[in-house]
Amino acid sequence: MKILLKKAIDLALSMGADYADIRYSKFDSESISVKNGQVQGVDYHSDYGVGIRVLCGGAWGFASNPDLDDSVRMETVVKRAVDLAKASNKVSGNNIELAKKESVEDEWASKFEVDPFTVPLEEKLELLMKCCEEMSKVSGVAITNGGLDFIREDRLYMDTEGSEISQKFVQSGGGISCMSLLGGEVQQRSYPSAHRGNHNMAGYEFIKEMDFLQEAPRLAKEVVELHKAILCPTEKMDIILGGSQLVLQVHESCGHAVELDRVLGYEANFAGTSFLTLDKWKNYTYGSKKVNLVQDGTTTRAIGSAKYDDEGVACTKSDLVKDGEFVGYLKSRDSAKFENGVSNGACRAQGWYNVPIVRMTNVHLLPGNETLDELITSTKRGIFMCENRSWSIDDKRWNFQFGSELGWMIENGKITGMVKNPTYTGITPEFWGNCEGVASKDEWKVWGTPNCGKGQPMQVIRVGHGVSYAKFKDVKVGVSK
Amino acid sequence: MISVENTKEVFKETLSKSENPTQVILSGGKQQLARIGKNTVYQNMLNKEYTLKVQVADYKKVGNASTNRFYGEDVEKAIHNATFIARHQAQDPDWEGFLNVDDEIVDDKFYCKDTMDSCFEEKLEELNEIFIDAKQKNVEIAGAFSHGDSISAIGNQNGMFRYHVNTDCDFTFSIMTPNGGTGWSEFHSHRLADINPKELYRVSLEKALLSENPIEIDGGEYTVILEPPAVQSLLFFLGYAGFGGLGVQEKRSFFSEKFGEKVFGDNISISDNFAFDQSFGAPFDYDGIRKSSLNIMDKGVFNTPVFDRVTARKMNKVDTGHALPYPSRSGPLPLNLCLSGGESSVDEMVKSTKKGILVTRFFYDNLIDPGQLTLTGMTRDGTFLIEDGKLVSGIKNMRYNESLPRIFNSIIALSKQCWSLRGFGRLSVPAIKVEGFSFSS
Ligand SMILES: [Zn+2]
Repeated sequence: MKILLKKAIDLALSMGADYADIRYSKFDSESISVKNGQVQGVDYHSDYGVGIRVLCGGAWGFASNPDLDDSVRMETVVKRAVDLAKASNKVSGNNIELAKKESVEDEWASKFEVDPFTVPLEEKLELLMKCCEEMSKVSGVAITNGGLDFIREDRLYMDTEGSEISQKFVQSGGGISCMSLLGGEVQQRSYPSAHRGNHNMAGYEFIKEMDFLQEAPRLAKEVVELHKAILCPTEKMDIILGGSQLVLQVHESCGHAVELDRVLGYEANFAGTSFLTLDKWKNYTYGSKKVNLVQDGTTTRAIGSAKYDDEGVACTKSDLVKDGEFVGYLKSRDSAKFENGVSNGACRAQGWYNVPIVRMTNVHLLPGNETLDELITSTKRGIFMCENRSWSIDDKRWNFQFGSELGWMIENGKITGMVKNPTYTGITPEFWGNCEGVASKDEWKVWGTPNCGKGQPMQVIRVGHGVSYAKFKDVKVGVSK
Repeated sequence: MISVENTKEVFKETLSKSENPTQVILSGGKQQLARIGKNTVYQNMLNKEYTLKVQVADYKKVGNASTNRFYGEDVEKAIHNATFIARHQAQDPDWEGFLNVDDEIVDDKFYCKDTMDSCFEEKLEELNEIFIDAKQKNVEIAGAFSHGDSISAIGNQNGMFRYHVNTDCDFTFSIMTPNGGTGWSEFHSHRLADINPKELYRVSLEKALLSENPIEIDGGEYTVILEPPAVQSLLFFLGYAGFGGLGVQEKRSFFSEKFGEKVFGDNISISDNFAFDQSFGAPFDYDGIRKSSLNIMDKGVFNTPVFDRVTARKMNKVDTGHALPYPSRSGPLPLNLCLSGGESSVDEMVKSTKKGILVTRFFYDNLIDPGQLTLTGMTRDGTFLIEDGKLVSGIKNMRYNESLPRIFNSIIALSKQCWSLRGFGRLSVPAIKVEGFSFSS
């Protein structure tokens, strides 16, 4: 394989490219869905191929190729990439420069205990069916769901600067949920989160750790009780966020906002731009002193981790927001003319058939000093929300509105009851500016968001987020009609 | 493009290797895409991506495996995996079996050969003139320009063969000015020749310049004129959360108990039409069932959701041919929605508005409560204040919180002209004028 890839990038140089990189990826996935105790589907997918990216006179060209055995075809594909780059270069205004990086020869593999692809299908189905059975025991539960997803990817990267990197990834994830319907009202509860559960860079041991079965009865009980709960009041009050709700808050209002390609206007037509414009870099208060956000492509078990990104740049850990001040972006080699002028290893592509672009690896809200208990007891009037239900944010990552599956009313430092259809809305820097406390590392854990979309054609990638719990004051809640 | 003959050959070879009842689905295509940013082409790519999905049944147990190869050991492995899954998994009591017909449907009505033969580089040269003009005017263009083809084909051992190919050309154009103006235009067709970048540039430039130095206005209820890209968002969620047969059958949908009921205004008629130029698609669903044009909503009266074989049987209704690839968690969905136009035009709507807001498009819309069809989202790329029949100023983007049933009961005008837009499949939509549309901030 290496010989084949080397030949392709050498060919690109001989055709007039100034630089070329090539990525081979072999991807396998297993996806299992159970609904109402019945198998809804078991899907196994496999694909492989290469994508070659070339730079000619400051403009990019890219072409992908699934036909690896066909050397004539490979030549055609390389030529196509070079032709596209040359065509782009004829258009005025292209002057791409790549930030310096170290060339390496390296191998890396993610760690796992139990290869999820070796666990018998029967065992996986039985787990989900049992969960459905447990949830449906509670009267009023109408629909039960369970899903498991496993992926395995082998990547080989080479470039004309001499890098040669082989990496292997194994990830596991899943979740369960149930729905209850009463007079046109639909309620849902999920564990550990909605949208296909939680995901880690780990083996089947992660599924066992999540212990779905233990949580199934609680979900069922809560979903039925939700119908009787009070409707989320419309007022300004404190909120405490945890779990996938805080994950999504970090993802949408910080993670996407610090993507440098958005800031520069390269995503303006699709995903949007960012309010964190270049003039705000190291010169803008993003949140309160309690707010510390980092990008970290090296976090153990987080699904955005790797040793190198898809440009062969080593993944790093760096500050995005330090003590509330905005200090850093997520960068690629072609956008990294800022800060210290190098990429921080955040350029990624979905599969072999896509162009690498600036992406989140893992973006964490660093733990603070409080406990969840302290955050609750210090709250006079507020709502505690964990599992996300709906989300929306504008193209500058400025004005957002989120909804959770369930809220817990807090009055005078105590949880006093359940709130249904909780929603909240805010303006990013005001909201984070009102962050009054973040729970400590004892309550901090890594979550996986396997469905982050960006780019054209749309690339869906897997991103990690570490969070504990955080409290925000004076938030507008109860905004839905 | 993969020809009918090649597809048949791949299917024959694959099906011959499986001992169990088997169905194969081939999907994918070729796409050339240039992304525009900062007045230049910064991403230019060619992508060829196909998936061969093998579905193997072992009585009522079904396994699915897919690969991006058509021959050799990868296909054998896919068959082996699908057979293994089928054998080791539990029964699906709802499994209907592979369609037991031996007829063929071959459809290339929306495949434009000229589009695939045309020189993409020439179009880039045309763009270059636009970029130079944009630089002179001190505005910034971002966009995407793509053309390609796509195939969906299905075959099984009973002799059923389905084949659909079409071409696709998509052009989106955003323009930003230094003083906070933004504009948007888009065009979608299966013919590259239909796309006129200069006209699209003109439209988005006009919007961008007019929306400069946007003012802030308070939330509240306004008369709004929604241009087609904004209407697309609403129709998409109506189809996705409302018109799916599974949601209706499971009583999760707003329309669950509303067959034959007047739910929307008299001026609202919605169909699902795969054969229409602006909403075209395959003439069959992923079970291989032949589609026909479906009248979903007639003058505000809810007629039917879309069904597949399972949901139709469970509700004792006729299958409408809207199955997605098995196993589909969302159940059957409409892929070719058309909202019928009216008698008006955007110009007339603006002229007849004393005070209101014109919305070019929405962004990041999402359901808050799927059962009630409540939505939130933001305006984007050109939101304007209308006073005394004229666009007087750009306004800063606003968040809406609205319910679809309320909107579709408050539409006072629809444009005669409809536009083809992309969503989940393709949609045909007019511009609309709505009274009492609610912005929360
Ligand atoms: Zn995302």
